[in-house]
Amino acid sequence: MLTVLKLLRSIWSNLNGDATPPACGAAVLIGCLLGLTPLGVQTVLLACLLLVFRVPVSLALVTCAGFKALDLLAVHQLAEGLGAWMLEEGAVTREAVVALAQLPVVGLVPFGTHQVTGGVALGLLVGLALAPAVAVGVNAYRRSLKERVTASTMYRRMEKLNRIFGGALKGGSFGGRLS
Amino acid sequence: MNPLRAVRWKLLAGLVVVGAAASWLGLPALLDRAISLWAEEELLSRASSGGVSLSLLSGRCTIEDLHIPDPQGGSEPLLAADRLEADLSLADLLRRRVVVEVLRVERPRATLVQDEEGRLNVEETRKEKARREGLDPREVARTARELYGKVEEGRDWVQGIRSFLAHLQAEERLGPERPAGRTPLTELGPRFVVRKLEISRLHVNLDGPSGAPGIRETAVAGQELSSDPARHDEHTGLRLQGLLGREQPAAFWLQARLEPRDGSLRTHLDRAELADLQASHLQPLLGATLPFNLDAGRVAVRATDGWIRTPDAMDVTATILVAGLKVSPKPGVASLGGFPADRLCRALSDAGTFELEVRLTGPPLAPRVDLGDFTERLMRMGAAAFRKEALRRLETRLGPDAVHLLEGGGPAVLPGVLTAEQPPGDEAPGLGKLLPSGDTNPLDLLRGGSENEQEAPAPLKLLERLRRPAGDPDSRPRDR
Repeated sequence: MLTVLKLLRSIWSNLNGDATPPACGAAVLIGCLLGLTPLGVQTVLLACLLLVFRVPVSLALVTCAGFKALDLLAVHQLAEGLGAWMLEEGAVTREAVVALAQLPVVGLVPFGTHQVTGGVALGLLVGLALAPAVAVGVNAYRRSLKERVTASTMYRRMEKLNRIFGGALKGGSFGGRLS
Repeated sequence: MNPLRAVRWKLLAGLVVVGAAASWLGLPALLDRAISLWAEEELLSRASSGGVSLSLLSGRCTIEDLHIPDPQGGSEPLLAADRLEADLSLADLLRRRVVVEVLRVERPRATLVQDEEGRLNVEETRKEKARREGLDPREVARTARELYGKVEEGRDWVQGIRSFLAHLQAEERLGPERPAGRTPLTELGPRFVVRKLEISRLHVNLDGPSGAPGIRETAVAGQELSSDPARHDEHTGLRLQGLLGREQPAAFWLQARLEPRDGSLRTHLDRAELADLQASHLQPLLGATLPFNLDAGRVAVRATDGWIRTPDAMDVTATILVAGLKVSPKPGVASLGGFPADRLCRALSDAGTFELEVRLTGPPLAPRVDLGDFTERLMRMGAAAFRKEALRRLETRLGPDAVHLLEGGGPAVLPGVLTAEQPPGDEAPGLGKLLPSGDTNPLDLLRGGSENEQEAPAPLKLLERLRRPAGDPDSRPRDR
C-alpha cells in the first residue's frame, strides 16, 4: 500500500514538477510495452531503457500495471492473434520483424513467439497513440490547472502527509527520488 | 549536475559492474551446468570436466578434460575429449545465435558397445530417454521397422548402426510437435553454426562380438556446419582422413559437402577412398548380394561420384579392387551358375585379384547393391578356370598334343599329310589327300589303316592311341 502511495505521489510530483511532457509521453510508451509483452528478455531491455533515459519511472510503472491487468484479462489473446498474423500472413510485417531480430541486443527478444511480437506491436500502437496525448495533457495541465491545484486545501494536506511519510525534500514540492 | 541524474547514472554504473563481475564469475559455472544438463537430458549420463573458462571480451570458451561416462555402465567413457576450444562471435550472441568462428577439439573419443544381440549402447540410452519423454517404445520400434525393416535383428556392426539411425528417425517422427504460439523465423538462419571445425586424433571404438572396425587417429576439417543445414546459406563441407580398424588399419579419405535442395539435404561425395581394408569388413555390406563369403583379401575402394539424401535415397558408385582374395561358398549353396560352388570359389581365390564396380541405390538404411556385370564375369571366370582345369587334366592323361587337338589344332597331329602350311581359304583337305598314294580306298583307311601304317597312321587308329592312358608307349603318334 505504501508503495502504491509513493508511486501516486511520484506521479503527482512529476505532473507538477520538472519532468518534461515528452518524457512523460515516453514513460507511458515504455509502460505500455512493459504491460503488453510477456515477461522475458524484452522486460529487461525495457527496464534498461527506463534507467538510461530520463523518464518518470513511476509513471511508466503505473502504466505498466494498468496494461498488464488488461493483458491478463483479455488483451493477451488479441496480442497472440496479432503476432500470429504478423508472422504468418503479413509479408511486410514479417520482414520488419526479421529486420528487428537481426539487430544486436534487440535480436535477443524472441520475436518468433506470437505473444511477444503481438505484444510489442500492440504496445507500440497504443503507446504511440497515448504518448502525444499525455504530453499534450501535461502541458495543458501545467498551463491552466496547476496553479489552482497547488493552491488548493487538499494539496496542502497532501504536502503535510508527505513530510510525515516521505520526509522533507529539497526543492519544495513532494515527489519520488527518481522522478 | 542534477542530483537525480547522478543517482540514476550511479545505479546504471553499479549494474554494469555487477553484471561484469557476475559474468566473469558465473558464466563458466553456467556453461558447466548447461553441459551437465545436456548430458543428463540427451545421454542420461553425468558430465564432468577438468575446467571451464569463458571470456565474453575475447569470445573464447575452453573446456578441459570433458568426460561423459557410459550410462549403460561400460568401463570406457561414452564421450570424452582432452580439450575443446571455441571462438564465439559476440555480435551473433546478441542476436540469440551461437556462432562459433572456430571450434577445435583435441583427442575426442567415443565408445559404442554392441551387445550379443547386436544392440548398441547409445540405442538403449535413446530408448530409455524416449520412454521418459512419454514415447511408447513399441511404437518407436514399429516406426523404425517401417523405415528400415530389420530393426533389432542385426548382429553385425553395420546393421547395429542402421538400427540406431532408424530409431533416431522414428523418435523424430513421433516426438513432440513444435509448441503452439511460435513461428520459426527461418530467414535468420540456424541458431547454432560452426564456421570452421578442426578435430585432431579422433577415436571411435566399436566394441562388440561383430569385430567392427573403429576409427583411429582421424583428422576432421569442416566448414559451415549448423544445426539446420537446410536453412544455412553456405554449403557445409567435411573432410576426414584417418585409420579404420585396429590390428591391420586401413587408411581412408573422405570429402563431402551438404547441399540443401528442394527442401531436403543432399550429401555429395566428392571423394571417398579406402586402402588396405580387410575384405571380411565388406561382408556386412555386400554379404547379402555376393554369391559367396569374403574370407580374406585386401581391398581398395574408390568412390568419386555419388550422393546421399537421408532418409530415402542414395546413388553412390564405387570401384572395389581386391588383392589376395579368398572366398568360400555360402552354407547350403552347392552350385553357382551351373558350376560347383566350391570349385568356382577356388578358381576365384586362385585368380587372386579382381575389380568390382558397385552401385548403391535406394534408402541409405537398406540400400540396393548392384554389382553390375560381376556375376557374368564371375561365370566367365569360372568357365575359363574350369576349362583350364579340364585341359590340364587332359594334358596330364593324354599329353600336350591331345590338348592341341582339342583346341582346334587337329591337322598338325597328322604328320606329313596335313601341315600348318595349309593355306587358309583353300578347300579343306579331303580324305584323298590323307593318302600317301591315290589308290587306296579312303574307307579302308578309316577302317583299318593304310598299307604303310608307320608312315601315315589311320585317323581311327590314331584316336585309339589317344584314348590309351599316358605312359603307354603306343599312345603317342610316331613322328616322322
